[in-house]
Amino acid sequence: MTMRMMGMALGNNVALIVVAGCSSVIQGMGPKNSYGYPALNIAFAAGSAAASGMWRAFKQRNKDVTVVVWAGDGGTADIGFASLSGAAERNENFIYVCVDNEAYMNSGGQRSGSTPHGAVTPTTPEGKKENKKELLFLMLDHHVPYAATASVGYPHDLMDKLRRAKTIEGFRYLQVLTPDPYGWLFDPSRTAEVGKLAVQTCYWPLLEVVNGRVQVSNESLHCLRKETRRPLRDFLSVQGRYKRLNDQDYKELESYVDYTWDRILKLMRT
Amino acid sequence: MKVMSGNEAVALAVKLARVGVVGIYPITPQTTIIEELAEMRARGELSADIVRVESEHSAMAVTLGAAVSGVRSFTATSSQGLLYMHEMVWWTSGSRAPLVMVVATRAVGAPWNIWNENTDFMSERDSGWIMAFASTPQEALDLTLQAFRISEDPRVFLPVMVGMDGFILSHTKTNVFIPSQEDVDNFIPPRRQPYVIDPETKESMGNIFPPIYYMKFRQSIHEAITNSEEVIKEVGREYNKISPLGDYGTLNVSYKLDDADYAVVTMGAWSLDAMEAVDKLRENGLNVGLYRVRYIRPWSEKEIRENLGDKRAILVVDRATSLGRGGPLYLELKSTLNIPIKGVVTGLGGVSVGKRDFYSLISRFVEEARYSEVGGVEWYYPGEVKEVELGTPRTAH
Amino acid sequence: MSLEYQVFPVSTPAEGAGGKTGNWRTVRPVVTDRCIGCNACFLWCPEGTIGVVGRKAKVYYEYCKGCGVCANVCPVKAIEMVMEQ
Repeated sequence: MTMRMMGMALGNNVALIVVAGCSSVIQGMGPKNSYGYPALNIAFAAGSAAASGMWRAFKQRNKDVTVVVWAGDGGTADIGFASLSGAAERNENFIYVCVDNEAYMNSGGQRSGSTPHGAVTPTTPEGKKENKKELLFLMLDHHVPYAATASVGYPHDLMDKLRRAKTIEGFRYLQVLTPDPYGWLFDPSRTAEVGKLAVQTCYWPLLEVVNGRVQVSNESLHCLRKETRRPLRDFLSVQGRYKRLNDQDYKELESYVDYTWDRILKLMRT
Repeated sequence: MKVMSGNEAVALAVKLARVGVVGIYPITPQTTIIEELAEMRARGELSADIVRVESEHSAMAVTLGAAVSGVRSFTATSSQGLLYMHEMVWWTSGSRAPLVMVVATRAVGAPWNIWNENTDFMSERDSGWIMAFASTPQEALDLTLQAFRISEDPRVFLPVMVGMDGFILSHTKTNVFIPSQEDVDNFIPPRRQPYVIDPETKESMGNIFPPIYYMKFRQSIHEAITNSEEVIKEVGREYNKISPLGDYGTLNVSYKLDDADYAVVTMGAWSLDAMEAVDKLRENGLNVGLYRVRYIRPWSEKEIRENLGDKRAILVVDRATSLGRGGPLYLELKSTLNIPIKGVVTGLGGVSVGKRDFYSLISRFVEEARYSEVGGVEWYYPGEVKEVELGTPRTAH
Repeated sequence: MSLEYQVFPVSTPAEGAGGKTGNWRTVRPVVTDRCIGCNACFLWCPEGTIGVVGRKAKVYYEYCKGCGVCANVCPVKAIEMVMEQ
């Protein structure tokens, strides 16, 4: 879904770097490729570093090409984190798109740093104990010129953000929540719906930070006040991976949402 | 001519080759390569884009990313860094991306060791890279320059690794002849590569192929390596024209080998010490010669059989080891020749081995070879010669 | 030297890189007359196998996997998911 939306937003002049993950396999079997963009497939940890080389090569060849790293949450929060952090710190000139389905879905859904508390995965059969790694805030601490979050539930918002990112120079980060019916355990037809619920219940904040200035996206404005947030239960009850959720876990997740929005509010004030 | 170290020579080669992107990460003893490159860039002498990445794995990734996107690229590393990069070393050769890496060799931990040993370099010989090993700062410069042309040749299209002894070559300075920029521009043709990641061509690299394709890709690398022998000799001959000290018409180098009964095989800087020992031995009536391996991959069975096939016995001195089996040069030679070969592993972890040690090793070997069939692997510690009193272990001088 | 041995792991954009994925379906989307041609289905379809042609959405059944997202996002519920025979 996100790939097609990205295509609509960015146009033809894009080169992809695809790290290990579902997207490696979705390309299909060589010598055919289901992507219309040229892609360098690369080892798990190497996406951001390869992009650092690729954009410079295009610059030297005087070609205006948008370089995009396409990585899952595993390749971003865990194994790819060092190279992500390095590239962000160096303000490398490319767009990093993290498609976040909150687990290592390509290998069967094992937990990643981006898996939320309480989620059941093959490696956390009793529900993950730790909270979701806060990638957006980590990126903001690198003082990147552009960082944003999006959801497949709101494609126009996603495309707007990509279009804006395209106009900015330097390291641009976009984390897209991509609900995964296989791993989250819901009917595939509801993918967009779940993407919307995540935002409506304020679990997944939609925002855009340009040079440190925080702008909460329209779809998340109601989250700024606790009273207007949709109950988290509406989002969690749709997903089979939260079947084991007890009251304590639920409270933990609620306080995580509160904490996230407190941080956002604090950032907005500075 | 200028006096410079191996590291400085390599940095100069990178500049002369008009490299576009360099991925760098510091590690002893390669660090002065990248420092020199950064300084050249700051002085305006180097136009390459230098990317100071956060790990060696990323250093290879950056270099690969630039290479597949159409630009000549370079990186350098040593021991721990090379091993950390290992995944990407394989990814790069599998990608068939022409690029060059220099490895200033260093022993591998655990435990920590910053001194010279060739195991790090040798341990990559399965990976599908062309691999050359220098014996002087001059060769470091020359082989690096040739590497760019070799890797970008359509008969090859493989990455090339140039090794040199850490500290011994990377840091010691000798006279180096520097070919002119004009000569190098004529020597290295404009970059060619098998494909480019570019929205204009829309080609992608690396997605899954059916198993038979994969095997054919592997075979392609295998054949490119074997066919590169011809390319290397051709490039070497061309290089000899612009660098008068050169003897690059063959992959490996013979020294007083024609009439020799016995041969010593070495690689790297200490070959020069071994050559001095050979001279002395010849003065004393021993009929030995030296064969210096310069290219590990391709491994020229042809040249080796031609030069060593008629010898009575061979002594191989490795500054590296395939733990549990012996030195890599020894193992490669044993699979190439059908004559008695003895392997010696020494100099690991920076243990200093000089011409006196070579003299002792070779003379002992010849004695042995005269009366029995030599073979097997010996671990040699300098100072453990008969003249030393027992109970007082002598360490490196 | 013939260069026939040089083969590289390079692929190019082509249809059907994963085979005829239409065969994966157990249910298929059927567009009814309620369709208003808004293209919401086109926007969200993960495969790009549905979109408005003329005034009504049309399904490319050769590759449609039958995930049902189109039916879910349609604002007028014009798409029905029907069991494959």
